[in-house]
Amino acid sequence: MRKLWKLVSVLCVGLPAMFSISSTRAAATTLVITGTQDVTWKSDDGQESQTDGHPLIVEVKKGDAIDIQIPSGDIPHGFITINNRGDANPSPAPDLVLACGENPQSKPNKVLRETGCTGTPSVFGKRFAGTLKLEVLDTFQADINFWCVVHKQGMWGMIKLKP
Amino acid sequence: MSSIVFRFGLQIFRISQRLVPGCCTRTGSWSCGVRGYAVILSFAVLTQVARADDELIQLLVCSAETSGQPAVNKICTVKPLGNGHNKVKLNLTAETAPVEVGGYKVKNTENYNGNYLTPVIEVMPGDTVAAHLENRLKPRPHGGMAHGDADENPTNLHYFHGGIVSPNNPRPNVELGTGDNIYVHLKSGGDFDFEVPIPGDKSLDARVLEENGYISHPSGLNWYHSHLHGISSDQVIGGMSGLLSVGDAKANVKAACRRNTPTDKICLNDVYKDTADLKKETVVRYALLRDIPLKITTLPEDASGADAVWAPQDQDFPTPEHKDCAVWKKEGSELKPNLDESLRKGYCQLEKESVWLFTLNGQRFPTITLDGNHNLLLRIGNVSANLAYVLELCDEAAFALNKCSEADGSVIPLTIISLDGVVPAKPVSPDDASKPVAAFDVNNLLLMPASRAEIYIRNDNKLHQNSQTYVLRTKGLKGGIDNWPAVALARIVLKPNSFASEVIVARNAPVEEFPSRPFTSLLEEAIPPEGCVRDLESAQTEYRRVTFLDPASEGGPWRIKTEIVHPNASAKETDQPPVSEATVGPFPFENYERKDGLVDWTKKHVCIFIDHSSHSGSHKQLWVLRNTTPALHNFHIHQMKFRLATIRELEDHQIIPPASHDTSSGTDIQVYDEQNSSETDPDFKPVWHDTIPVPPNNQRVFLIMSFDAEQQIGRFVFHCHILKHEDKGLMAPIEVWGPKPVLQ
Repeated sequence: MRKLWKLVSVLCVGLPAMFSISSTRAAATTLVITGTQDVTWKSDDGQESQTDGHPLIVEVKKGDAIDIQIPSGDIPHGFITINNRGDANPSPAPDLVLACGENPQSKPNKVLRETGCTGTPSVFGKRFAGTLKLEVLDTFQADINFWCVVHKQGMWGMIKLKP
Repeated sequence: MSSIVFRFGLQIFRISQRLVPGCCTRTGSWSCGVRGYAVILSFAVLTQVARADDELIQLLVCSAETSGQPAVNKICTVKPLGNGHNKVKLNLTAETAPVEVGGYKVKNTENYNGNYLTPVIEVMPGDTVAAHLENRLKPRPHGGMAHGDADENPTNLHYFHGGIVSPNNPRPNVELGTGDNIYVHLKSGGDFDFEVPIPGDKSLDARVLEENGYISHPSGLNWYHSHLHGISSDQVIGGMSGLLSVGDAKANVKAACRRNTPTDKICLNDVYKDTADLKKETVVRYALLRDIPLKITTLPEDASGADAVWAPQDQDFPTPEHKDCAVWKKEGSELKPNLDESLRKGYCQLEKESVWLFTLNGQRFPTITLDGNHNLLLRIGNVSANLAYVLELCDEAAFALNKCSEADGSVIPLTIISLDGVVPAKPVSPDDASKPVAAFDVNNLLLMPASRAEIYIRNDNKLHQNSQTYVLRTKGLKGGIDNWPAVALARIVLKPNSFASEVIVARNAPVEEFPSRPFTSLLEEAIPPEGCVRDLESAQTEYRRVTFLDPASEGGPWRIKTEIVHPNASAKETDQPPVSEATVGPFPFENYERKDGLVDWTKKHVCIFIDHSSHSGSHKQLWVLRNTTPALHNFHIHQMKFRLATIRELEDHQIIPPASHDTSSGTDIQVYDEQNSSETDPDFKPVWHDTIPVPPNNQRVFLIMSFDAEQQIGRFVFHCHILKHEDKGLMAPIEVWGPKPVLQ
């Protein structure tokens, strides 16, 4: 009887708390960004960067997944974060992403984490064909910028936190 | 010091005139005097270190007029061919030797004849230009070549860039061809003789410039240079290049017909007399626009014969991170970088211990002085391996304040009388040639690597009582990952004049004629050579798409993909599907190179068949150049000229015209011609090119190419003429073939 009371009290206290947590944090979603053979970034909600330097702008939530897809083709691409807008002479900022195989302590500024690392080397910061899987960490606050490791300011974008 | 040399040179010249009477009879005594003087002056000046602000050194000229003069005796020979024309032959020894550049004595560059300054060749249409090339370069390590003997420093010669001349390199031993054949692979210690006939009267099919008759080879400024894939950038930076003029130096100086209205058939002026006057008032200066990276211990302003070390591996331009180029100046007791553009007089620096020199005729920031009522014909070649220049002429006072502006009149227009070796005009009848139209002005001129221009700067059309000084500068160019700096190149001083001429400078269009000659078709022997993919089917409005591509993997070579596209109205241009069996690549040029450095012609490559003997039809093709890389590229094809396609020509190929200009590089790059039609518009004024910029990040440029002349038959290349890009793969072979028994 005492055990049953305990179980009831745990459920009474715990379940509302769980519901409370899930109600403040919407379900994680996956955003797909594709590097195209037209030298653009294109998101699955129909946004696209322009080769004149106009960026792709996407919004994410903490906990979301971002799939950077680069289909195989003649025109190579890769993904790296940068420390400023793509049109403001930025430098690569790899410290924003914890890549596969890296020690979490080595990147205190990380806001994204590469996932799906089982047995495969990291493709972050390199040209590749396939998918780079990223997770938005709780540390993500300010907008971050990224560009293609090949096309740089001609193919850049911005990831913002959803309000 | 230079004035002493000047007088010394003049004296020797006067003596030589007495010793060699009649040596200058071809174009009159004035030009003879200038040219002979140029020869002697440069001969004398080459014995001293030139300083900034010195008068521009004049180059040795190898021509029928100058041959036999002491200064050119060992390098230039002229023999009559017996038909009123000459064979003008230049001896070029490629060697590793010290040179003098921009005030420095530079150890061991790779150059011709032990000199940074190379002779100008002047030949007439109908002449044959020849070269004896010896390779005496010292071995040195080279990176990035596919074949094995790079470290032995092989070389070859593009003889000449801009020529619509035969490569004369039939299969199977393409590398033995003695024409304008860049497949020659001359190892260290070897010799090779080139011999290139230049089409004379009525011997060049005018369809290459889109008319129906025959013309002489266009008059204009061209050049010659080393072209060995993998190491051409280094060799050209070292000095292995020179200028070549088809036609005499003033061939394109012509007065325009002045009319009451544009449609008037009668000229208000005597064009013949005005032309003669204009030529008399014209001072010609050849200018080799070059740049060279050096390691230094003495700053450029103090370099009066200081030693420097050639550093071709330091090719930091364009700078990938948009790093700015500075001038190191003393601030207190410390040397610090200063970004003030007006300080960059013929140089700039990315670090204190190195310098990038930008020179005219090996001089840093020289002066060109024009007497009153004399005009300057600046025959300038951007013979840089890798750098683009945006030329502008700015008032010196405004320049000193960094306030060059078209709006306030401190930038004065440049009158262009030829570009890339051709007057920008369609060939005209002899009658129309006697009533030429005016040349055109530009506020600035983008001169990509390998481009040449004849720029006419007047000092006879506005009265002024005081000297006027202008700075010829490149205003710089940024775009994509590229960053070419703004640098001042020379001063131009216009002395006071006493009258204002009304003469207008003209476009000296090529003259078209119609000889009667039998035409026969020999199509029965038209069997495509091995390795050829099929050509365009013009009846199907097909076009060729040439795509420049980044390396497939980090550090790999750049690649070119060539496709034939069968237009489909429902798709945008980049989605138009190619004809699969005609696709070549994407390949770097290394794909074609064997271990011995020769080319394997059995591999799939672009081919064009022309039956020039029937003189029917035309092989006018639309080429769409697509640059998917983040770098600006510079398309060049040998043995021909091309122009931008018109809107109508794009629409004919079911291409929706994009924006006609790209300004992402900070300068205006036109990607097609906004004139409506080349076919129906009598006022259509094409601008011919042999190099053209292709903006980065998936931009496209639309060109019309005409393969119609027998001189185009043979094996040659198209490539990026930023040579370090070409060296890293951006080059492709092309084969133009015709029915036998014509030379293949």
